[in-house]
Amino acid sequence: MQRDNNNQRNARPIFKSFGQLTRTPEAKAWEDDEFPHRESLLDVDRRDLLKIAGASLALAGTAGCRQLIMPDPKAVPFVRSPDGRVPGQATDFATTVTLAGYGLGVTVRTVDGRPIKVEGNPGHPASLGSTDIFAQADILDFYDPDRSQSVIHRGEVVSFESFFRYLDGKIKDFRKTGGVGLHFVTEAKSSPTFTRLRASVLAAYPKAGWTTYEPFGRANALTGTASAFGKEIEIYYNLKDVKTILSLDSDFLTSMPGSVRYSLDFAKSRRVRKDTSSMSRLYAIESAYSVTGAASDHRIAVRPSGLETVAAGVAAVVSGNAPTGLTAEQTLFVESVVADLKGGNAVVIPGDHTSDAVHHYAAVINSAIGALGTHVVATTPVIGDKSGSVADVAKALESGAVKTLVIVGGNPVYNAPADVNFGDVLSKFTANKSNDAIRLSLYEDETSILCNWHLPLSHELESWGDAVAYDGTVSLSQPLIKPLYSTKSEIEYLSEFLGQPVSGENLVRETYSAITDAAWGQALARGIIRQAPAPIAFPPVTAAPAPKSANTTGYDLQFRLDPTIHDGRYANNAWLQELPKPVTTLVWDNAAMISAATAKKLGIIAQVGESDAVNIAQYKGRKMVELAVDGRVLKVAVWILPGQPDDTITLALGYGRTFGGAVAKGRGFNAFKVRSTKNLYIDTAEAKAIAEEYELVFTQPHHLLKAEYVETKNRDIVRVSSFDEFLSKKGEIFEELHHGVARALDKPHDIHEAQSGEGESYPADPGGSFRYAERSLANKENWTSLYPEFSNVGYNQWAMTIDLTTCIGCNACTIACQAENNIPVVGKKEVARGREMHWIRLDHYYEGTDVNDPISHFMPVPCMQCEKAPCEPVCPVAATIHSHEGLNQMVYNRCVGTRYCSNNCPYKVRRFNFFKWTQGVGGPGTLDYYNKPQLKMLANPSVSIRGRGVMEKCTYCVQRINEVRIEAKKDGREIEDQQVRTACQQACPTQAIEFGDMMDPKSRVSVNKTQPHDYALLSDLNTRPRTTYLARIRNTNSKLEKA
Amino acid sequence: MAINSIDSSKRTRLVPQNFIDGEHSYTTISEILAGVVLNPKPPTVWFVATGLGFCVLNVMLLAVTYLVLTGTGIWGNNQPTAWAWDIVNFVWWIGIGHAGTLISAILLLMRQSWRNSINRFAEAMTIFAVMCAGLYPLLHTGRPWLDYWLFPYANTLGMWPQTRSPLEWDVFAVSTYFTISLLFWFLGLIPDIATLRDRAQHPLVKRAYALASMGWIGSAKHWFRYEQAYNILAGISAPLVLSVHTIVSFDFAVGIVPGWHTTIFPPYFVAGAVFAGFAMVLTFGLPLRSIYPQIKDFITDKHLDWMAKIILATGLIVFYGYILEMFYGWYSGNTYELALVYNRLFGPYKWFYYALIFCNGIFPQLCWAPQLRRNVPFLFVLSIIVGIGMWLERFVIIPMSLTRDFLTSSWGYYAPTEWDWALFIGTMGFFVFLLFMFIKVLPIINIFEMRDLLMKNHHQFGHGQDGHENSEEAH
Repeated sequence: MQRDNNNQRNARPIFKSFGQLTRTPEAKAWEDDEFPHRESLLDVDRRDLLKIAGASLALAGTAGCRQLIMPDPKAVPFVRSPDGRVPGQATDFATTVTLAGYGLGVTVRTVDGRPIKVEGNPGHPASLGSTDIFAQADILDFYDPDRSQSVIHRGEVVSFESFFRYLDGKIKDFRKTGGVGLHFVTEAKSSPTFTRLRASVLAAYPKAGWTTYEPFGRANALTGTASAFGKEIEIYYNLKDVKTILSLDSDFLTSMPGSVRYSLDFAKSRRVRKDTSSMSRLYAIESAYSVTGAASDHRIAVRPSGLETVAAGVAAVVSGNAPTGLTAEQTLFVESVVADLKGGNAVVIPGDHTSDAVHHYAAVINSAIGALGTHVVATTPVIGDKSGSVADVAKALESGAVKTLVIVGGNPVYNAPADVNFGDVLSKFTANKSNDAIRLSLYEDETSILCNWHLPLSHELESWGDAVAYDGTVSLSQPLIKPLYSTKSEIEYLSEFLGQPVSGENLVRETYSAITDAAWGQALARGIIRQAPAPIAFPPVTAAPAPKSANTTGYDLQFRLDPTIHDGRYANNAWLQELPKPVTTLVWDNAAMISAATAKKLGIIAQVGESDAVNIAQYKGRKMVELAVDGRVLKVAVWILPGQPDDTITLALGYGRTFGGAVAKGRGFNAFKVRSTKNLYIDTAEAKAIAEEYELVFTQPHHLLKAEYVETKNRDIVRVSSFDEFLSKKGEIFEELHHGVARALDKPHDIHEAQSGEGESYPADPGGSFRYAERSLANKENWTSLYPEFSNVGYNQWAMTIDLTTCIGCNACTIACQAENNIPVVGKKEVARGREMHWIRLDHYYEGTDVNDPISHFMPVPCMQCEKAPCEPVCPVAATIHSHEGLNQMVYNRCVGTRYCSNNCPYKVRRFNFFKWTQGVGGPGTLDYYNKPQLKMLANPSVSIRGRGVMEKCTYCVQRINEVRIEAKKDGREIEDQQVRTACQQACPTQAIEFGDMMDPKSRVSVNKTQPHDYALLSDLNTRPRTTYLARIRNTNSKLEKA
Repeated sequence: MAINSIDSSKRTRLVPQNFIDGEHSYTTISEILAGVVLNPKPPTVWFVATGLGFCVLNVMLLAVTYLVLTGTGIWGNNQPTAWAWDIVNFVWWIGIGHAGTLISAILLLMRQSWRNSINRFAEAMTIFAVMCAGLYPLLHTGRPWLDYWLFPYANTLGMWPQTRSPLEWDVFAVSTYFTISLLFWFLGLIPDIATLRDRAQHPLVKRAYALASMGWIGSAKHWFRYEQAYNILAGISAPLVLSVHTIVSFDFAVGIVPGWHTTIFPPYFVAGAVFAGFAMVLTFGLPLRSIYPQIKDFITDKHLDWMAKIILATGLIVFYGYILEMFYGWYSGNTYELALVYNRLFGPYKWFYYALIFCNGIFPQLCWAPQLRRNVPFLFVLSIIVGIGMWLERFVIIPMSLTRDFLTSSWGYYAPTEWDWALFIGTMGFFVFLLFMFIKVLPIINIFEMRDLLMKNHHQFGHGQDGHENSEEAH
C-alpha cells in the first residue's frame, strides 16, 4: 500500500547541464520531448524506414514491459506473496474518512488490491465498528467515473509538469515578495499534517492569506461557547448512561460530528430487554422534522425564530424562574422536560446550526443540571483554522489585493452565500490575465470551471492523511490503492507550494516524527495514532442574553443539510441520491418542507386533512412556491410534512448543482441561491404558490397508522408500546395479538434456562450439541402448516432480529447493503415507476391522528427469509429455494423472471431487473458497471452482478456466511456467534440489527428472539419469518401523553 | 354412422328447431360455403380488414422486438405490481378461446346440432386466441429466451421444472389445450378440405387442398374412423373447457395476495371465459354475416338468440361471483379482505370496478328481452361491452389487488405505458389477420355438417326436394 511520488524532486538543485540549471526554453523543450533529436519521417530513407518498421514489430511485444523500462517503482506484482495472503481473499485496512473535516475511523475491505467496502473501525471512538451513510457511500465516490482525472488549464488538458513549471516560477516570486497576493481558501480540515503544512506555507510566505470556508460547519457552536464560557471550546457529548436528553433542534443522531457514536450510546441507553429496568428519554424541540425528532419520545415543533424563546424558557425553569413568552402547550412541555432534566444524568444538545444564544442557553442548562464535564465534554476546537470569511475573500479578489487564489477543496462558487456573488467575482478575477486561480478538487465543478488552473485531487481512500475525530482522537488515512488517476492529495499539493515536494506518506510521518517506527506501524494497523486528549475544564458559564423573540409575520426560511447528500459534496453519489430521505422517502431531489396549515395558507391545498404527504393517494408534488429573500428568488417544489412547524419553510442545501458530474447536475433546487451571509441558517422569506409543475419522487406513500379508515387499521405492522406498560406487564405486551395455541417462545426460553443450569433439556444426540435440537424460534405462534416441515438438524439456522426501539431510521443499513451486494441504481424516473432496487428498505409510518404532531416509526424491511416462504412454491423453475440453513435462496442464473415470487411475497422485498440496470439504462447518473472500468472495480467480487430480467433480494449476505463457514470448516470448528455479520448489521450505528444462529441458545439473536416483545411481521400468514422485530418501546412521559 | 346409430326419436326432442333458414339443397350449401373460399374476388371489406390486421400485426412485431431487445421495463409493471397487462391480456385471450372449445366439444357431446354452423369459426378463434394468449406468458418473463426451462426436458443439469407452481400447471394446461384444439379443428376440417379440393379450379390450389385433405375420399370407412376420432377428441376437449381456465385461475387462487386467494375463482373464471368467448363469437360472427350475407341462412337469428341466452346465463354466474367476492371480503372480517373491498369500491381504481359491474353485471340483463336477443346492432354492442367487461375483470383482479396488499408501505400505483398498448392492440391485429386469412383459405362454416343438418331437418320437418339418397352427391 505504499507508493513513492513519481514527481519527487529534490530540494537541492542537481543539474546535468547549464541549460537545465538556468531553465532555458530550449532545454525545457528538450526535456519535454519524449524522443529528442528525432528526425522527421521525411528524412528517413527506405532502408531506415524498413528497419524502424521491423524494430517496431519486434519490440511491439515488449509494450507489456512498461514497468521494466519505465520508472514505475513499487507498483510491481508480488515476486513472493506475503505470508498468509490468499488471492481473492479480502483484507481489511484501517483508515479514516472525513466529513466536513471531522474524522471517522473506518476499515476498508480490499480484494486483490482494490478497496470494495467501508466498515467502521471498532477501535475508533467515533465509530466503534459502525458507520453512517456517508462513510458507506465514500467507496462509490472513490470509483466515481466523473471524478476529475487531469490538470486543466484554461479549459485545456495539460500535463502536471506544465503546472509545476508554472508553479516553480510563482514560488520564486512568492519567495521574493513573502507571498504578497497569494491567498488560500480551504474547506474545514482537522488534519494535523494539513495544519502543519498550512503553518509552513504561512511561515514561508508570511504575507499570504488563508481562509477556511465551510458552508455548514460548527461555527455557531464555537461562537456559542465563546459567548457562554468566554472562549471557544469544542463541545461533544458523552451519552453513556444518559437518562434524559433534550435536543434543541439538533439532529445529533445523524448530522453532527460524532453522530455515529452518539447513536450507539443513545441506543444503548434505550435497549429494552426482558430484565431492563430503565430507559433513557429523548425530548426534542424542533423546527424541522429530523431523524432525531422521529426517534424522540416527545417532540414539539417550534418555528426556528422562536427556538431561542423556548430554550430561554427551559433555562428559566431550570433555574426556578417562570418562562416567558411560551404557549400553554410549550410551558407544559418545558416543565415536564425540566423535571426530568433535574433527575440527573441529563444533557441538553443544541443543534450546530442554532444561534449562539441557543448554544448559550444549552450551556446554562447543562451547567445547572450538572452535565458539564460528565455528559458534556470540552476539548480544543477540532477544526484548527476558521479564519476569515468567504465574503472577505471576495472583497480581496475585487480590490486586487489577491493575485493568486488557491482554492483547496470546497466549492465556494456553488456554496458561498448568495450575497457574496463569489462566482461573478471569481470570473471577473480570472478574466484578468495577470491573476491566477488555482483549484484543487475531486471534481471539475462550478468553481473549477471559473478557475484557470484545475488540479485533480486524490480521494481519501487513495492518499495519505490524518484527521481528528469529534472527541480529538487522531487517526491516520492510508491509501488502499495507488491513485486511480494521476492525482495528488491536498497535503502533497501544499508541499509543492512550499517548493519541497514530499510524498504524502512522508508528510504524514513527519507530523508524528516523535513516534518510533514500530509505533507508527501499529498506528497504521489500528488506524489511531493519538488518543483523545483529556477533556479540558469548563470555565464558569456567563449569564445568557435575552432571547430574540420569534417572527410573527412572514415565513421563517431555514437551511438544513440534506439528509443524504449533505451540503452537496455527495451530490454526484448515485447511491446517496437514490437513498430515500428519512421520513419523506424523497429521492433525487430536495423540496421545501412546509406544514399542512402553511400549505393551506399558501393556497396549495384546500383542507388541512387532504395533506398529500399523508394521503395514501399518489402524491402529485406538482405545486411549487416562489421564495423571495432580500430580492433573491427561488422557485422550489413543496412537500407537506406532518410535524413541520407552521409558517416555516425548511430547505435542504446541496441540490441544484449546475456542474460537477452527471449525477449531480440539474437535480433539485439550489437553496444557496437565497442564503445570505447575515442569515446563514434562519432567514425570513416571502412565499407564494405558483402554478408550475414539478414531479417529486418518493419510494413510499404515506398515511397515518391509526387512521380511521378500513385500509390501514388492524394491520399489526409496527407494534408500539410504552416503557411503563412494558415494566408493569413484565414485557408480556401484545398478548392479545397472538392467536396461536401456545406461544413458541416459552419453550425455547425454558430450554435456555435449563441449559444454562443443568444442560439436560436437549435430547440425547451425538455430541450433545444444540445443533441437534429440534426447535424453531421462527414459528412464534406454534402453528401447523400445510407445507412439509424440514429437519434442520445439524446445520446453522440463520436468523435476524431488528429492534424497532433503537432503530433511528438513519439508512446506513440500506447503503451498506447496496455497497456489499452490488445493488444497482435505477434513476429518478424509474423510482417514480416503483422500481427501486434496495434490498433492505426503511419503511416509515406516522402514528396518531394529529397531522401536526405525529409520531414516527421506522421499520427496516429486508427479506424475512420465511421458513414457509410463499415465494418458493410459485416459482416454475425452482429459482428460489430453501437452504438447509434456513435461507430463502435466489438462484439468479436459473431465474427466468416470471415475477410470480414477487407477487406472492407479502413483504414485497423482492426486486426485479426490469432493464439492464447494471449497464446504466436507468438514465444519466445510474451506474454502468459494464462500460465504466472504474465501476467494474467497485463491485464486490463475491456477489454476482445481476443481469436483466432476473429477480433479486436480500440473501442475509450469504457470501459472508460462506466465507466464515469455509474458515470454520478448515479449522474443524463451529461458527461462533457474531463471526458472521451481515452488511446491514455491521453498519448499523445503533446495533438494532442482530444476526446469528437461532439454534444456538446463547447467540444474541436467540436471546432477542426469546424476548417477550419479539414478534413476526404479518405472523397471521404463518410464513414463519426468520427475521423478527422487537416491538418499539417508547419511554413516554405520562404528563405529556395525549388522551 | 355413429350418430345415426342413435335412436332418432331421442334426437328429435333434442333438435326442436330448424337451424337452416331459406330453401337449401346440399348443392347450394356446398356452393355457398365453398364459394366464400374459392371466390377469386373476395369482397373489398375482406381486403380492408386483412390489411388493417396486417398493419396492426406489425405493431405487435415491433412491440415484441423492442421488448426482447430492452426488457420488461418498457411496460408499466413495477414493484409491487409485478404482473399487470401482460397477465391481464393472457387471461383475457385464453378466456376468449373458451367458447370455441365449449361449442365444438361440449355442445357436440350434448348433441346440440345448432352448434354446427358456428363451431368452425369459433374453433378457429380459439386457436388464434390461444396463440395471442400464449405470447404473453412467453414474453412476460424477464428472460424470454430461457422460457424453455419451463418445459420438462432432459438436460445435463438434472433440473426439472418446479411442479408446485401454478405457472408450471399453466404450461401443461395451455399447451395441451392448444394441441387438442388444433387437432380437433383440423380433424373437423378434413372432409371440407376434400370438398374444396374437389371444387378448386386452379391446379396449385387443388394440389394444396389435396395435400391437406390427407387422402380423404369420403368412403364409409373414412367416415366411420372420422366419427370415432372426432368423438374421442371431443371427449378429451370437454374437460379442457373446465380445466384450462380453472388452472389459469389457480395462478391467482394459489397466491396469497388479498383479492387473489379465493376458492370461488375456478368456477367463476370458467363461466367468465364462456361469457367472454360467446361475446367474441358474436363480435366476429355478426360482421361476418354482413360481409357474407349468404351465410345468414346458416347463422340464423335463432343462433343469435341462443348465444345471447348463454351470455345471459354465464353473465349471471359471473355477476354472482362478484357479489360473493364482496360478501366473502366483508363476512371474513379479515383486515386485508376488508381493505380489498374498500379499495375496490373507493380506491384509486374504483371506476374500473364500477365499469366492470356495469359491463358484466348490469348490461347483459337486457338479454332478458327476446326482441333484443335477435337485434343485431344490440348484440354487437353487447358483445363489445362484455369483451371490455371481462378485460376489466382481469384488471381488477390482477394489478388492482397487487397495488395494495399487506404492508401499506409497499402500496403502489400502476399505469400502463404505450408499449403495453402496442402489444395488446398488436395481438388484436394478429388475431384479426389470422381470422381473415382463415376465412379466405378454409370454410368458415362446416360444409358437411350443414349438409348433415339439412338431412336431419328433412327428416325432422319433411320439406325440401333432395332425398337422403343424394346426400353423398357433393363428393
